[in-house]
Amino acid sequence: MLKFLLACVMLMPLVNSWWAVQSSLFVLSFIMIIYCHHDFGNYMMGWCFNLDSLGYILILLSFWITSLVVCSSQKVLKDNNYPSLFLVVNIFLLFFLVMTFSVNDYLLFYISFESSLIPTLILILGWGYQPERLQAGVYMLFYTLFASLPLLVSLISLYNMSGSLTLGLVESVKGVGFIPCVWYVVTVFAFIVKLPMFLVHLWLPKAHVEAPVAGSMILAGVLLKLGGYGLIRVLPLFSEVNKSLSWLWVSISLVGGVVVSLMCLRQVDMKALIAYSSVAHMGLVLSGLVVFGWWGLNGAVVVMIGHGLCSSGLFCLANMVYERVGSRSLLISKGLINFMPSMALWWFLLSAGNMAAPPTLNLLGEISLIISVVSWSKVTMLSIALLSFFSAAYTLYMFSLSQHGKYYSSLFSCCSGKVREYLILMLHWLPLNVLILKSSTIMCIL
Amino acid sequence: MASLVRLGGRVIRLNPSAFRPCAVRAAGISTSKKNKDTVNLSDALVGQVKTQQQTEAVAEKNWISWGFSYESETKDNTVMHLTFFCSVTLCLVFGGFIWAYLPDYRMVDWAQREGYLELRRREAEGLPLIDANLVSIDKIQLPEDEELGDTEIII
Repeated sequence: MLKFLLACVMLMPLVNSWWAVQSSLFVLSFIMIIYCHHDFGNYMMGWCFNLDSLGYILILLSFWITSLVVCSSQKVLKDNNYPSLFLVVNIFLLFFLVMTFSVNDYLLFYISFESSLIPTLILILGWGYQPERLQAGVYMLFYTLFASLPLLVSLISLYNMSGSLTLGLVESVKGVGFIPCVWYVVTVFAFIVKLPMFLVHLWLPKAHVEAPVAGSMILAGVLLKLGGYGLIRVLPLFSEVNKSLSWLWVSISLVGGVVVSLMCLRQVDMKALIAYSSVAHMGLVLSGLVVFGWWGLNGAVVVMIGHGLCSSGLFCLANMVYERVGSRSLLISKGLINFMPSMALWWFLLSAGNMAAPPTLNLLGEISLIISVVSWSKVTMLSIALLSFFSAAYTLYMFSLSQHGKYYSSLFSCCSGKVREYLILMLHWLPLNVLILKSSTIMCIL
Repeated sequence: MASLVRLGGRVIRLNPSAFRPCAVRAAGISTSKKNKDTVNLSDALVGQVKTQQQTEAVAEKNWISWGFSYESETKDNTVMHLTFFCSVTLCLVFGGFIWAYLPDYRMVDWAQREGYLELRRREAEGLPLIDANLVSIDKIQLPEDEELGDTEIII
């Protein structure tokens, strides 16, 4: 595993050449694809790193999304907006993400989990477009820090109890008294804010909207999955308390998902719509995760991968419109099918992925999650029905409002889609639709 | 393979400053003036000094960028080939091929085969297909109440 981390570090001397870093990132993704042997549960062990099926697919997603991020942020290179520094920040972020998904130790996981916030903050503050990015950075930083400092306390208490923080060697917390309950909430809260769940989701629309395209893609593509990954690692330690308290998370996330889906229908900013739809998707993921059955865990991982590809692609599309029209508002960037009909193809394909149309990974994951949550309680059928319905509703709203209709009369002309842009979108869409044929690579994480 | 070598050559040639010599000397070779001749004093050095003029006399015709570089057509083309090779050929085609033909990834096929074999065995012996007890009850020996005493029982 150290070979991949060393490879990330060795990308630093190449930052003076944008294209060298970009090609190297794709080559690294290819090498990651090859290292998919899973004879045993854990492999590539060494130092404090190991790799299992869950970490593998998330690290591959990190490499893939980072390559696409570098490919799509060409405006930074063209405007000479500190491109080398931009690449350095992205490589740091990739380094910390790969570390997070591969470490063997809960404390090291916590340290890399927190460290990944800093390059994200620098991306938002350094390359974002509007003054509101200051508040967005503050929201993201302080929401995550406020929730995860208690996680540090909880990890130290776990160390006190078990004598080790190595994954798999920590004793579970027994009983359902007051202390185990508080311990559970404190541990899980950090990942719930990261996912995010409905009541603690306010940082997400701000951060996603104010971030540059690179920040939005990495945030939606990988950073939200840190929360899911952390939950999968931490919930086995609290299996008894989880059974008593999971109703809280399922209720809030499902009802909140419906509320947020309704809010999506009222959005005018394209990126805010995609950001709120991320909250709705992650709400379903959270409910499947805390139910903690086989179907729920596998469905959660599949939706995390599918959503990572789909949301990242949608943010990429929104940025392509923003670069041409200068506005993210759906009232201004409408009727785009008249300007860029080929881009409308990609709008359609990625929107179809967002509403879990077949044959995307999102469909497979949502079906598994629905099975898992409904088997936990039949009452959830109501919120799941509303969630699925409104997910299709707001996605169609976004697609139709941005593509169909008469184009805004102030738009004079804009550059048609470049091959680079079509390539990026195709690289988002193809894995999303073809991986369903090899979903054993993504499911069966246990 | 040949196209890979061509691509590699083009990538290296994208950055020609690595291959330009650091210093250029202009050395002229000439003969001495022929004083015996009266007429022709040849300024023969004219054609012999190497200059650094790079004539780009050909006017650039309009070109549409692939999106990778808006300044130089060759750089745009080269980077396009490089990016498509690394992303599509390597990751999608080769990576997809490797994933498609992986042998029994995570032993999923083996597990399904074992499941069917177990079902066949149970049907043949008349056992229930799914049993509430993992191990048959007569093989389990529970301790007596007196041996247990005050031990906490957690189910």
